[in-house]
Amino acid sequence: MFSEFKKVFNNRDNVAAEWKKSGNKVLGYFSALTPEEMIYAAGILPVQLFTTNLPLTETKTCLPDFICTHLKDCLEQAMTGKLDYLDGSVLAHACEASRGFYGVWKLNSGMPQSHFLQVPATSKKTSRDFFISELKIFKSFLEEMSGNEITDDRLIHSIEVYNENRNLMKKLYELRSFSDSSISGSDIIDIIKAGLVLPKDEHNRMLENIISNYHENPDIDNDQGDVYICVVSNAIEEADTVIEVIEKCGGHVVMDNFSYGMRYCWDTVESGPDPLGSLATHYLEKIPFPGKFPMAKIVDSLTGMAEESDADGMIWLVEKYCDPYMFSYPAVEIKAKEKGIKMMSIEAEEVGNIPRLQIKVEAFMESLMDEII
Amino acid sequence: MALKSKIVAGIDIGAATAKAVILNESKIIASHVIPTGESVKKAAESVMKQTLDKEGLSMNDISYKIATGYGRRAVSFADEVITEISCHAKGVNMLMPDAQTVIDIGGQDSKVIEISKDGNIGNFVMNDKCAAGTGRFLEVMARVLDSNINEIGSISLNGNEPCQISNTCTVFAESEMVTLRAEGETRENIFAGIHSAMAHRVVIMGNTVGFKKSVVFTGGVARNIGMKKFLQERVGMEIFVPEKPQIIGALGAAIVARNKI
Repeated sequence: MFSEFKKVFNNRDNVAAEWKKSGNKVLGYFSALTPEEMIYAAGILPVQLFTTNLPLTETKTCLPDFICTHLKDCLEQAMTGKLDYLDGSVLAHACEASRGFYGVWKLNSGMPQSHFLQVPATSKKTSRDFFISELKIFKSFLEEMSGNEITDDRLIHSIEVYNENRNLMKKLYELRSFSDSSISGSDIIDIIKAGLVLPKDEHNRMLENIISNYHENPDIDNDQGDVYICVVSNAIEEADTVIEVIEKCGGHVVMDNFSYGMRYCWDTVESGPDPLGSLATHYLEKIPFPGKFPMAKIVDSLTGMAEESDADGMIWLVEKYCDPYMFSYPAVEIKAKEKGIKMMSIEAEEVGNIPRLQIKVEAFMESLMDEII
Repeated sequence: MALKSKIVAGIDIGAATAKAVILNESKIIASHVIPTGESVKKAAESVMKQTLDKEGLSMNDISYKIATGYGRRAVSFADEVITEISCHAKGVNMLMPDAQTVIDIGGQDSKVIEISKDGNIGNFVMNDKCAAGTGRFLEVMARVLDSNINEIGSISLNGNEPCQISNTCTVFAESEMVTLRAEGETRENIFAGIHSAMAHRVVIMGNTVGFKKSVVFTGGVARNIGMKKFLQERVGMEIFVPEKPQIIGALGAAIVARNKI
C-alpha cells in the first residue's frame, strides 16, 4: 500500500527529470523554514535536499568538522555532480552554521543560482516586517529564475494546495493513531519523504488514494502493552531506522516532531488577501523550530505535543553539531520532566550501529514501563 | 532440594565473557563465567550447561530463563530477553537496596546507570563510538607494556606520579605508551596514568546521569582494584564492588525471571 511512496523517493531524480521535460525548473532547498508555497507558485518544483551518507571527500577541504552532516553531505553531492539536475538552491537561515555555510556553498556547489533567505529568530512585529521584506526579495529571485510572475492569485492557489497536503497528512496521522492502525511509523516516514520530492498536488492525489482505501487491520493491536513514544528529530533520513527499532522493541510512535512531520502539518497557512503576510506569520509563528525564540514557546510546543499524545517518553534524534537542537535539549528535557515525560537523546551518527541503538532504545523503553519486570 | 519450579536462570552474553546465574527464590545456587569466544550461541549453551552441572540440574529444572547482554538474542533457549542496563540495576538493587548508581565497565562498553526506587532504570548513559573507557582499552594497554591484564590494577596502585595520558583514543594512547616507555617512565606510573585517564573519561560521561550514594561498580573491569581506586578519587565517594562483579547482569536477569513465575 505504501511502497509507491518509497519508490517515488528512491527515484526522486526521475521525478525531477520528468518535471523538467516541460521546460520547468527545479530548486533544491535545505530547511523546513523555506516557504515552498512561493517556489511552487513560480512554477518551480521545490525539492528537499536529503543526507545520503556519501563518503566525504571533496568537502573535506572546504568545511570544518563542526558543520552538521546534512550540510556537508549536500555539498558533497553538489561537488560530485549528484545535484546537477537542480537549476538552483535556496538556503533558509535555520542555524548559525547555515549562514557561514552559504558562502562555501555558493563558491563550491556549482549551482547556477543560489539564494540565502534571512529568517528572523523571533516572531515580533519588527521581525515579521523584516521577514516580509525578505520574502519579497526571494519572490523576485524566483520570478527571475522561472520567468513567471508570482501573482497573489498564484500564491493563494499554491497555499491552498499546500494546506490540502497538511490536512491530508493530519488525517493520515489520525488513522495512524488508532490502536488497530495498519500504518506504521516507518510508513509515515516514507510518505513524508515522497512529499518532499513530488509536486504537492501529485502527493495530494496519492494521499487521497490511500486514505480512501484505508482499512484497519484487526490483527494489529497497537495498545497491547506498548510504550508510547514521541520522536523529535531534524534527521528524517535516520528517523526511519530509529522508528523501526522502536516498533521492533514493542514501542508505538504516537507522535513525531520531525522538521516535516506533525510539526509541518500541525497548522495550515491562513488564507486571505495578503498571502505573503500569511506565509510570514506561518513560518515565524506556527512552526516550533528549535533555535527560534522565545525558547519557552518552542519548549512548550514540543513538550505539549508529546503530552497531548500521551507519550511516555520522548526520543530526541539529532545530528551531531546541530546547534539549534543541541542548545534546546536541556530546556526541553526539564519541561518534559515536569510533565512526567522522560527523554533520551540519540545522535544520528549512532544510528549506523544497530546493536548499540537497540540496547539504548530498549533500555529506554524498559525504563518507561511501570511493571517491566 | 528446593522446589524446581522456583528455580530460574539469567544468562548474560557479553563481548568478552558469558555468564550464567541460577537462582532459587532469592538465593544464588550456582554461577559461572566463561570466555565468549567466537560463537555467541555456543558460549550461551556452554555457560548454561556448566552452571547447571555445578548443581546437578538439567535445563528442564529451570522454570524461566532470561537472556541479556550483547548476545542476548542469540540465546535460543531463553524465554525472554532484557537489556543488560535493566539487569545491572536489578542485580545491584538486590545485593544493595540503598544503591542509587551503577558503574558498569565491561569488555566492550561502559555505562553509568541511575537506579530508581523500585530497582528499575532511572536514567542511564553509555560510552559511544570507541573502545576508550572499556575493558578492551585496558587489555590493549597491558599488551603494549607486556603485562598481565589481571595485575595491571595492583601495579597502578604503586605509581607515585601518574603519567598524564592525553589521548583517550585507544590507538593513539598505544603510541603514547611507547613514547613514555622510551622516555624511561616506570610501568607503575604509566599504568596509574592509564587508569586515571580512563576513570576520568567514565566519570565525565557519568556526570550527565550523576553519582548518588551508594555507588556500585560492576562488570569485569570492577575486579581491577586500580580502577576502583581512581574512580573513587574522581567521583569523590566510596565505591562498592560486589564479590562477583561480573555476574551482576546475569543475576539481574535471573531476578527478573524469578518475578515472572
